[in-house]
Amino acid sequence: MDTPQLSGWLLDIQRSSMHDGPGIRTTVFLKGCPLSCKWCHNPESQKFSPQLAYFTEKCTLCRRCESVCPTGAHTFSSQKHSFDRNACIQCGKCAKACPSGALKLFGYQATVEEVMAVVRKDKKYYDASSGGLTVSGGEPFAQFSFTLALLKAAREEGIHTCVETCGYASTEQILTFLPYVDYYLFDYKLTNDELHQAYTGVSNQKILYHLDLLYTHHAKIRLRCPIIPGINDTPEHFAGIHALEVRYPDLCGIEIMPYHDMGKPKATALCRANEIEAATASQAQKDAWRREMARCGCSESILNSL
Amino acid sequence: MYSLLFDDCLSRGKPLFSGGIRYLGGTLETYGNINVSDSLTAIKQLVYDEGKISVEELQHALAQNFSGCDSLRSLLLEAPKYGNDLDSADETAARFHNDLCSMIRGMAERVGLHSYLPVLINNSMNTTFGVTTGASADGRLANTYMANANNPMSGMDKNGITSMLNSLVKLDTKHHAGAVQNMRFSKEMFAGLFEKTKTLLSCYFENGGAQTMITVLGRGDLEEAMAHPELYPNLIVRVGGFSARFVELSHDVQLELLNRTLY
Ligand code: SF4
Ligand code: SF4
Repeated sequence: MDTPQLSGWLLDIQRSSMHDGPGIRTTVFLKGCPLSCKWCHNPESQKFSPQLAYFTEKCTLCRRCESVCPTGAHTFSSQKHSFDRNACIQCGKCAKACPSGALKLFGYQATVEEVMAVVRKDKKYYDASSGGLTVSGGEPFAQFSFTLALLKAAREEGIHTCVETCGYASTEQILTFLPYVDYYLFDYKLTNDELHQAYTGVSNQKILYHLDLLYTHHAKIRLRCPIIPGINDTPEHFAGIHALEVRYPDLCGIEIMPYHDMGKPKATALCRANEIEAATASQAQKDAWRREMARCGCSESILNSL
Repeated sequence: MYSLLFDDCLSRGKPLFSGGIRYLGGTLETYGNINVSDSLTAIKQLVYDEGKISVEELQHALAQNFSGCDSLRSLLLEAPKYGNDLDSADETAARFHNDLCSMIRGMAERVGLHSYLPVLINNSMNTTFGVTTGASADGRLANTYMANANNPMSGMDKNGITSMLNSLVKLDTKHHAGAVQNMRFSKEMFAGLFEKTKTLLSCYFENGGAQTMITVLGRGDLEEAMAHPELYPNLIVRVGGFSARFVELSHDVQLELLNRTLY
């Protein structure tokens, strides 16, 4: 297929991103991830297919969704609205009809050219700030051909490219991408592999191997470490972060990302079991982490990112 | 006496406004321009291109101030709005801007002036006039503020600051005598990401931007100041061409400011 016409599953395109890599950027969020982190703050990005979210508390019981749904997925009995997820074929009609924003369809298809039409609008801002395009997710490498075509298209127009990845893909894919990625935001989630498997669904061995591989190829990598209260805020993991800092002195920084629970309403709306108890990290908790990280040897720059 | 200070008045023996001065210029201020262009964009898309709303339905809804017409109003509100770097809305805004400006310029002779140019500053009059203006087809309710000058309608710029800045420069500055462009930044953005903010603004000026008026606020400051005015006697904000103590502004003007997008 002609590359500009290749299409991928998107969640959103966010312009003027200030925190997704160097400079001013446009971030393209793709849908679908091979991991299933229980703390995921973008739960709507995990599945590869579109999903209808139903935010119960916003529903005004107007019953418009019932009248437009082709499969009868919305039913009402004694002032109660039930949504049958199994009957839903994700046509999006009810989300369009809902006047109160209680229904939202996550996920849409767009071609490389359609995405680039948005991305190139801020070219001047990228050039002036050393910014560019960031492909995030979900997991960008999971939509292999689409992401590759998108990165190539950006490169052809002189746009800097960044990928936010969990590092989980085939090694061959990672190597194919190598010449087209200027900067990596690479997640480091858990040092203990058993816990890694329990909380994300996969082992961290391959991920760490890819980190090493990219580093040896002199890739520019910034490590991002989500810290989730009660799950990975342990001396073992803090020491693991410090070990990477020692092993890879030329990283473009290590950033601690304290957990926030803003993803929870979305998880509930997607009928995804709310799997962790954790609440947004408090200041006191962050201070305690900072002390513990310092004790585990983490550098000033890591502590300051918290 | 004042006329004495101007060339020609003395030699001609005539005061300033009675033929004493060689070139007499004036300006005309306009209000609600962006509400007009956003309304035209919505009407073009929903009534003519997509046929989702009929002219009669729209007239009825506007006359009723949208009461009982929520879904029609949602459609209008969802239609593209100026300030998001979307071609359809921005092209209408630019066309309306150019047409309005050239119409005003063309009236110079009729009003007895050598030059007559529009000014888009508004101060807080967009709100003063808004509270006596009916509902509009951009989804704006009756008796509420209108957009300030040629800025996006408060809160309708939702696509990031680069999009907003790109939209602003599509309205050519050569056609008018002055306009203000309001930008609200959070402290986190303005101070915390100062270099990036500086780059944003220099790009905006390179792209043809002529002016900016900046307010920097903590998130929630204005909400707090509305609830507890006694705690915020010195909170100064830019309105539209002038600065004011927030707590001394009228409730309607406060609302217009509160709803502007905070970057
Ligand atoms: S997305 Fe379509 S099928 Fe699913 S509930 Fe809504 S209208 Fe019904
Ligand atoms: S259309 Fe929206 S508000 Fe109305 S009943 Fe359905 S979910 Fe609730």
